[in-house]
Amino acid sequence: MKINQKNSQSKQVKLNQVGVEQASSQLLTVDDLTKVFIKGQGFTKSTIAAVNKVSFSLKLNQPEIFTLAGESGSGKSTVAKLILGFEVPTSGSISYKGDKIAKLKGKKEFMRDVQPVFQNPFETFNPLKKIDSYLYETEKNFKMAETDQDQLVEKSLELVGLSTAEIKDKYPSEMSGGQLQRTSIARALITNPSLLITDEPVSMIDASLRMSVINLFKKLKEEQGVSIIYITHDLATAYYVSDRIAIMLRGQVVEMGSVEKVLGNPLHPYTQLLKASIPVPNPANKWASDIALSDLETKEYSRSGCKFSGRCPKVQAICKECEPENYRIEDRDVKCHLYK
Amino acid sequence: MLRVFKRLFRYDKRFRFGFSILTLFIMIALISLFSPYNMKAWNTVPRDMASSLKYPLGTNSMGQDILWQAMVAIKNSLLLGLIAALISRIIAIVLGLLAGYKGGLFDRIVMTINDSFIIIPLFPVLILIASILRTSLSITVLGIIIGLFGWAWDARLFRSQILSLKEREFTKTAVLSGMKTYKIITSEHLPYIIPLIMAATINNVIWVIGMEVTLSMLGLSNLNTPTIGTMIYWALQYQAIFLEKWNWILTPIISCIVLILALYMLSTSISEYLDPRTRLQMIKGE
Amino acid sequence: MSILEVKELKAYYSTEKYGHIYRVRAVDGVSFQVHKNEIYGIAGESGCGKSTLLKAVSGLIKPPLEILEGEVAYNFDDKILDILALKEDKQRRQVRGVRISHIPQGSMSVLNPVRRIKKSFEDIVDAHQKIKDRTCFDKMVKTHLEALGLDWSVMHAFPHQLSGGMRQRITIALATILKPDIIFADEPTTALDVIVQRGVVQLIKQIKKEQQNTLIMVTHDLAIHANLCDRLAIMYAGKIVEEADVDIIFNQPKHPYTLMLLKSLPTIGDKSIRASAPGAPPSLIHVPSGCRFHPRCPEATERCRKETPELIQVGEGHRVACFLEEGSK
Repeated sequence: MKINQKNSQSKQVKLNQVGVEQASSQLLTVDDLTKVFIKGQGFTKSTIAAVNKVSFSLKLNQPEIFTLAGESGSGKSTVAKLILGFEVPTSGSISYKGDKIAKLKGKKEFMRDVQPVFQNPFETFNPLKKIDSYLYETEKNFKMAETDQDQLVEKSLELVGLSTAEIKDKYPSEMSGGQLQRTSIARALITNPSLLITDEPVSMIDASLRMSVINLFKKLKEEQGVSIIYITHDLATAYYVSDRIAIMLRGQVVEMGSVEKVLGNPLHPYTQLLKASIPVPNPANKWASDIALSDLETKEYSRSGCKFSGRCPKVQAICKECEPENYRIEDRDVKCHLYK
Repeated sequence: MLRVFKRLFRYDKRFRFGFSILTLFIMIALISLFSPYNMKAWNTVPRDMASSLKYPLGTNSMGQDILWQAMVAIKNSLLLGLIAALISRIIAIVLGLLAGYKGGLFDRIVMTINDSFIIIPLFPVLILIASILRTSLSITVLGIIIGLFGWAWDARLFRSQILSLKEREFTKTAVLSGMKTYKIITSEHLPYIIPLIMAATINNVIWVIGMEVTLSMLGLSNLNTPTIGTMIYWALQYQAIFLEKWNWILTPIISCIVLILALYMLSTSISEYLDPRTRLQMIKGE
Repeated sequence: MSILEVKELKAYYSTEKYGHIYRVRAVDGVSFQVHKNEIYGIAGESGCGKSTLLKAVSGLIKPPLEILEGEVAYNFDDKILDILALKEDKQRRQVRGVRISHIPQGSMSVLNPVRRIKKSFEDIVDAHQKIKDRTCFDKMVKTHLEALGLDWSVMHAFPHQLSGGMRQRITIALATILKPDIIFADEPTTALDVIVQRGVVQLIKQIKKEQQNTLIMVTHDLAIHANLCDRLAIMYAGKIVEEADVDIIFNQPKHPYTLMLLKSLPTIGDKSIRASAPGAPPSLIHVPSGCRFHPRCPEATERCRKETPELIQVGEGHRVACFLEEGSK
């Protein structure tokens, strides 16, 4: 364990130098990010690498929607928490505009620039408080408006397709999930952020209203120049809205590239299985074949070779023994021995 | 506030009952200040008189007027409950909230102390202290002692509520809206904590009154001070049950039962009204 | 032949708090028939009353839920059984365990976290047909699990040792061990990952093939309905607005709400702009007058605001509640 740490530390130093060189051109750089959770105490103690050497970056002044997709337990939400500073990474680093997050954490400038949108809009706001108070509160605390308070709130509500009159004196329970989620986004937009981190923003919203939030992301990227990290398990909306996508499996990114490439023609067997498992809203395309389901969760985390080798239809002997590296093929990174 | 009170009074039977009885008892406590007799002294009136106009509930074997004595006893018991609850509330709220919000080492130290207080066999300790201090055990001193021992469970309750509120997503929203910690506590969390505190306070008063009765019945308090407990103690000492002096023994017992019942109903009705879920339902319906 | 016939069912939640009466019109005049051996889907957004409909139809009626009017008639072995007429909860429970079964959304609420899976199976079998012989019971469970492609070893595990998908499949196995005639599934695939979802759908299909029973599937996910169901009813604000064979619903929808729902679904390989629906579903405490969809409907007329459209037949097994369709009758 100690040796491992040393290794990763020396590696980290190297990567940091790279990070400094590129700092000027990157909005967000995630380098070799690892988060290990310790479960239990004493004899039953075990560790789970919820995030395992994840690296990606978003370019400055080039807004895009980047999707982190995966099943539950793939570590995608943990990445969001690490970026927002709610969790501390075990190793690896996250830099925002060239500065380490560890230093920026809790600073007003950083909080202003990076804002989150949470999964459950019904939990985002205190049910006993009127919802507009959050918008004014954000404005006041970040000293966004010097003269006219209402103007900024009105403007950001307008961006999400709401008006002050619609949310004035309303409690969260009086509004629909879609309206709440849009209000939540409006709140995040008050500080004029460069990066929005959205963790499953539409999974709790009704089907007929889901698109109102998804389309809003597109609009924000195009008109406001906001970069968005979209974390989801829903590949259909990911395809619709995003530019690049990273597929996560048990803490690792197994395939990353442009969304048309990765979902249009998946190369990693796991991505292929995921794509084939999305139900298509067309009775003519029913699932035909049967599939194998995953073992116990903890088993897959601690697997030494490829995490997917337990249920991969194309498994080879080498898959169970050593972990595949990232191979660059057809404009994307694939973590699979098949593409050596 | 008045609107809430009216609404509760009109639609909740428990509140109506609890509140009326409690008001009655408080009035009794106030009237008792004008007692014509010195309740600590014996033989101020003829002994063992039956009910009459002059002595509505008769007199006891120690030469005291039962009605006036009961009124003073109620005053003292309520006062005791109030003092003890006040002290234990202050400790419980301060420690519970601090431990919940600060966390870390502070939380662990406070909770270790807290747990020791929970597992200390409270009753023997109280007996020990009471028997040492017995003669100087005024209502205030007894209240302080019981209060110092009665905070541990509730501190834990408040802490756990804070811990769960801290994990709620709206707390994160508040943090990311740039709110300061004290603002989050006062505007986001207090609406959830106050009902808990109110219910816990009333329950604590009930517990204190019960504790005093128990101690006094064992003869472990200052027996010259009339309280509900000492009244029962003296009535038992003089064999009130065998001699069928029902006025003497039943007056303190019935007042004790009615008082505790009223407090209990008040506590359930208030906590139901202040329950965030009830309030949510009312927001939706209006 | 229909196994279940629901006529004009009205089920409301009523509560009174401090002088205010709250009446949630969760199911407001719903009629439908379910044929024997089919998978009948009920789709709708959250708060449209689909879960309440399921509760009312399966006889799970507890205050504050009350049935105002309507009839729920089952046809088991050519005997008509009106479940709402059964007064005793005990009688209803007998019907529910053996004839009717229920697959819930959350598996953790069904499996006792401190007991092994096998105990849960014992409990449910024991409640309805006393276990006389241990080996006989083991054999029965074993054949059932084998038929569903589950491993016997899970029987000795505790719920927390299994993955979410495995727990959901165990729950389904548990609900079907007594070979019920009719199964109600309430959002069984919600909150599951796509791959596990596919496994669950696979399992449900297999059970139906194995036991030849009828399934009523409630979920908001239209893609799941497309994959699983034979016929589909679309609910909106406490009423069924359209009902037809799955193919017809997806290919020739008539009701503006159905159209809107289908239009908003994204698919992989198609990046064209999807319009989002205006407005939001109404609260069932304050329902709109006339057609309940009129505030969001692009084709609403003055009539829609005043009158409530009836569910009318527009084609073979195709019913729609919309004034636009009256002419094409």
